[in-house]
Amino acid sequence: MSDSLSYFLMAWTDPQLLLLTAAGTFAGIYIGAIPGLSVTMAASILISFTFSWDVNPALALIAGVFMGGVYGGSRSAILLNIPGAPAAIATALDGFPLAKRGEAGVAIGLTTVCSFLGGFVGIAALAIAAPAISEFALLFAPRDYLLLAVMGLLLVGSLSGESLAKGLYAGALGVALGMVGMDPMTAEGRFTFGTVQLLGGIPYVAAMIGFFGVSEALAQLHNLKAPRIKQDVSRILPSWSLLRRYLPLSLRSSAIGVVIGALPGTGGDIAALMAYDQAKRTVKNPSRPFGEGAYEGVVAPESANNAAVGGAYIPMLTLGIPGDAVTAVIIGALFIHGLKPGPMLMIETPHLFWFTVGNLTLANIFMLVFGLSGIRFFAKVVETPPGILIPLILILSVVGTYAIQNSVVDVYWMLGFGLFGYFLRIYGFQVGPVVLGMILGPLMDTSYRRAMISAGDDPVAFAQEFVTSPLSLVLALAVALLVISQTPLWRGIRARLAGG
Amino acid sequence: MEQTLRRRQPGETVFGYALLLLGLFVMAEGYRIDGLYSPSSAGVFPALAGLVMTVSALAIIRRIHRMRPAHIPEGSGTAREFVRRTTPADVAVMAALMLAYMLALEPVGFLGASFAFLFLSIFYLHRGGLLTALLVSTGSLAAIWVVFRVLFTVVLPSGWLFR
Repeated sequence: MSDSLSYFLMAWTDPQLLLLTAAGTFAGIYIGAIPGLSVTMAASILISFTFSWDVNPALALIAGVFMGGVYGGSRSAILLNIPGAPAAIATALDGFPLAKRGEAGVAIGLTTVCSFLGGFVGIAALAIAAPAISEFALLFAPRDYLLLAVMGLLLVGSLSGESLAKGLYAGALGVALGMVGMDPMTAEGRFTFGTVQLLGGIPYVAAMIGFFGVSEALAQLHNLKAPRIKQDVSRILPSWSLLRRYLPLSLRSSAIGVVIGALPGTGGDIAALMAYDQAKRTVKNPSRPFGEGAYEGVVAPESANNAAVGGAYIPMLTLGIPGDAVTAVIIGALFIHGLKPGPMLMIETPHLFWFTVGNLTLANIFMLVFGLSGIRFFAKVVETPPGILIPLILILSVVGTYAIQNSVVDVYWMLGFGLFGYFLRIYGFQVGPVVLGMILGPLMDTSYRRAMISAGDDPVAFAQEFVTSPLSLVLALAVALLVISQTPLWRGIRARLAGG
Repeated sequence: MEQTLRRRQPGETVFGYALLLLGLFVMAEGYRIDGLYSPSSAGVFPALAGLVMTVSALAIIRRIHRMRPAHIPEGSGTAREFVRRTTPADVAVMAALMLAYMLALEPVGFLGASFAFLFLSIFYLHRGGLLTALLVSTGSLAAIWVVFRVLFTVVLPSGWLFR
């Protein structure tokens, strides 16, 4: 116990580790907030120049960037309607309407405190329930991953936009785009049209920047002459009554974040969307309707995505399976430093586990401190004249895309997606499902095929497995409910019930 | 309960049919990959995605046809109204500037191409005078250079045209 405590406090008592965690968190917030810079990109670049360091300083820096970056994405989502990371897509739905009302300060304050709470819940889960949650995640069969991904896609498709059909179209388009390239199971080319360049697939980060950054910037050109709303950032710290009101929702969303984060392959993005959806369905009297600046709409996703950070570490440290893209990069860092993440890691190097828990706790505290300070500077970003801001967003989008693999072809992809996304927006489509479809598409494809192969390529046996396994049945029912709840039939039943 | 439908935008019907064609194309390409020889073949999921796109596009088109047509002012045609609403001059100019910037990125290099893009677009959009455009583009380019080139050691194109 005393050993565990001393490992836990290692980053707190060593000035170098303390400084690196602080620097990483601070940088992470700004990296997450700047459109075009992703936490995954920053973590992978950091590995390239920390591989000669000792393992603890390297991990301290990366953990700080991870924790700060997941939170930082919400700032650009609130202030610019451009999620800095996929984990902040749901935050933009109500965060940006809040900024448009001049309440960016309250929104940022609330997201900061909720991210902090969510972060703590995630870390506590990592410390206390790591083995149990990992065992639960092991119960997931490929068909369950398929259902989970379908659920994520349906959620984002139905969250906003004019109709479910548009959400479904956008999601399926994203899945099709995610299929481009060499099939990982048979090495056949899919949608490559005989070109070698397409075998590697379409870079989803270029698509993400194009759909979110460029299309948003182009859409903003319609409002060049619109008066800029002055953001009220005089009161950043949310009132105690406001916090007390949203504490149960924050804790509930954090629990969702931990579980989703702990599932391999699903990270803060799905966690935030699922938490947003459960808030939308369970909160009876939101502060405003969801999508129009409801506080609940920022509390739920921000609590969940930071809770998913701790959750994502669980399968990484105990099973050696990355919880999301960033933990996949961190696994690479552990290998570089001669460590083998997996069940033996906690037995052979228990200090690393407790060091990570202590380090994440410290990063979470720094996130709260840095998050509640320096908001005035961020709010100024919104007050920047659009004639200056739009070219800057466009240039950041170009540099950010180019930086991924030093390829100008990626930049062309980005512009193409940006223009396409612009027309989608004009005609009432949401671009979020397209990007999420691209990310989830390959996972859905391989999960479906593995499940089908395990059922002996028999569609009837495949369908039966969804009913015979309790876990699959629950997930399948959840997916079915999600679809039915979006149909006019369901709305009719609800209206009839409400009318008595 | 019938939801209130907004008015149909100019070009929306054509866009709906273009989406339908794209869905059919994806479905056909999915089939073409391996002829869907088994339920777990490589083409099944792409074909399924195409099927969902096609069915959704049909629902979208049905909805578009139920909308009242867009209000077109007298003396303006649908094509002109489409251009006015979807690609006003600012969008067209910025898209053209972006394309020119990307084409110039490798031959001219990051600094030259980015400065020209920033200066011209800020001068055009902000309409705040030459000096503002010059100062803002120089300052922001310097900040971007420090973050990406110095801090993150990202290799940016150095250009070959003026070597």
